[in-house]
Amino acid sequence: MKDETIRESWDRIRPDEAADARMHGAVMEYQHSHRGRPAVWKWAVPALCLLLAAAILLFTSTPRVQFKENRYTVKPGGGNTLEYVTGEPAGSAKFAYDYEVNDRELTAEEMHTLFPSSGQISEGDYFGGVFKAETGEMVRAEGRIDGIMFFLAQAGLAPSDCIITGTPERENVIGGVPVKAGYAIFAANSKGVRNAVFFAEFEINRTAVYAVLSGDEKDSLQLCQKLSEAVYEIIRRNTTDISTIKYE
Amino acid sequence: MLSPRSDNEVEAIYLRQRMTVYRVCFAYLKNPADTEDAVQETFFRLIRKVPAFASEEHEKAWLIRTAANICKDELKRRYRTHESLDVHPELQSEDGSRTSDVFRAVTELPDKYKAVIYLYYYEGYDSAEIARMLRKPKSTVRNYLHEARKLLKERLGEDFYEG
Repeated sequence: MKDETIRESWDRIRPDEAADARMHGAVMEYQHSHRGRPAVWKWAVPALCLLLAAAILLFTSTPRVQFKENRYTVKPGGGNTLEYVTGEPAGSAKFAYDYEVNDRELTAEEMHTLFPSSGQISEGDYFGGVFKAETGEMVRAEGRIDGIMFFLAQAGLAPSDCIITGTPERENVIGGVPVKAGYAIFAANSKGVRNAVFFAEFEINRTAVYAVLSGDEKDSLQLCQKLSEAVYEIIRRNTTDISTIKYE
Repeated sequence: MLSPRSDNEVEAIYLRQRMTVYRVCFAYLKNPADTEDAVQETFFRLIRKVPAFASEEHEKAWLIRTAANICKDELKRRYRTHESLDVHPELQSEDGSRTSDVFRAVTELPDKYKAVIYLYYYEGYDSAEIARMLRKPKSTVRNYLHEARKLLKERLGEDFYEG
């Protein structure tokens, strides 16, 4: 028997026309209902609130977010300051493993364990973990919570390959933890929107964390504030620890 | 990067990859009803997670891994008696069921071999490419191929050979 016989056997496996139409319909219906909550609405109300709060703060106290000389400086709380310099954000990194791994999605409870300040886990939130088959320990994880992409890795493994090209005026230290932070602005897309990407990288509890938030360049102040506050909360709560999640 | 895909983009991915996803799911679940559900769930996750793809190959790999995970979860969660493959007309070959014997043998392989066999024989990827797609060591993929071929030979008889 040649390879073609195996290929022919697979060729015969196909849905009938009715099933094909059902699946197509179900997928597009899901796409429509999912897009019924367009991303812009997720930003509009909190962004308006942030804009209003930022406007009040500007007139009444020291600004929490500033953009000056190509740097965004944010005060996320606790007397800390986070400065974003220019950089190149990582894409979804491709990793090769020299040992057997398993992967699975994390449960809502596990996501809360890693990110206790995340509140109610919504439908758009997800996290996937990669586990060493021999020991069941999680070695990497990536996912999205409340619009922020997170990449986690065991200390010693790279969660991402982000490159910070600018130099901050001072080393960022949040709650005693060094944090590298950067941003990049991309050329306008077909809809004329320039995408701004903010990212931050740090390590706590022997867990390397890389967080990314992107959106319209016009929302840059809100984006870097939201990311900064998320980073601050993770460090402040000090519970994000990749070793607490096992493959079972 | 995080913007939801447009209707056209989702539809294009669906039309491009649905057969691949369907065949992978069928290999695990062995009946059209469960396969249909698993295919839909695979694309629902694509819509929810909005993964970024560097290429169509990357897109296919993501969908295959996601479909395999969905199917494995389904098999773990529920025990059910699979319908006999004989009732599915698409498996009746004109030449006297040789291809259906082959497909039956493939579907009866251990789950961990199925995606590897599909990608190697049907999609034509080599073991290095499969290792990257499935995030497994190359040695594991080569072992899976070797073991799967041994099992196919045992089940299909001595006239099984590789061309």
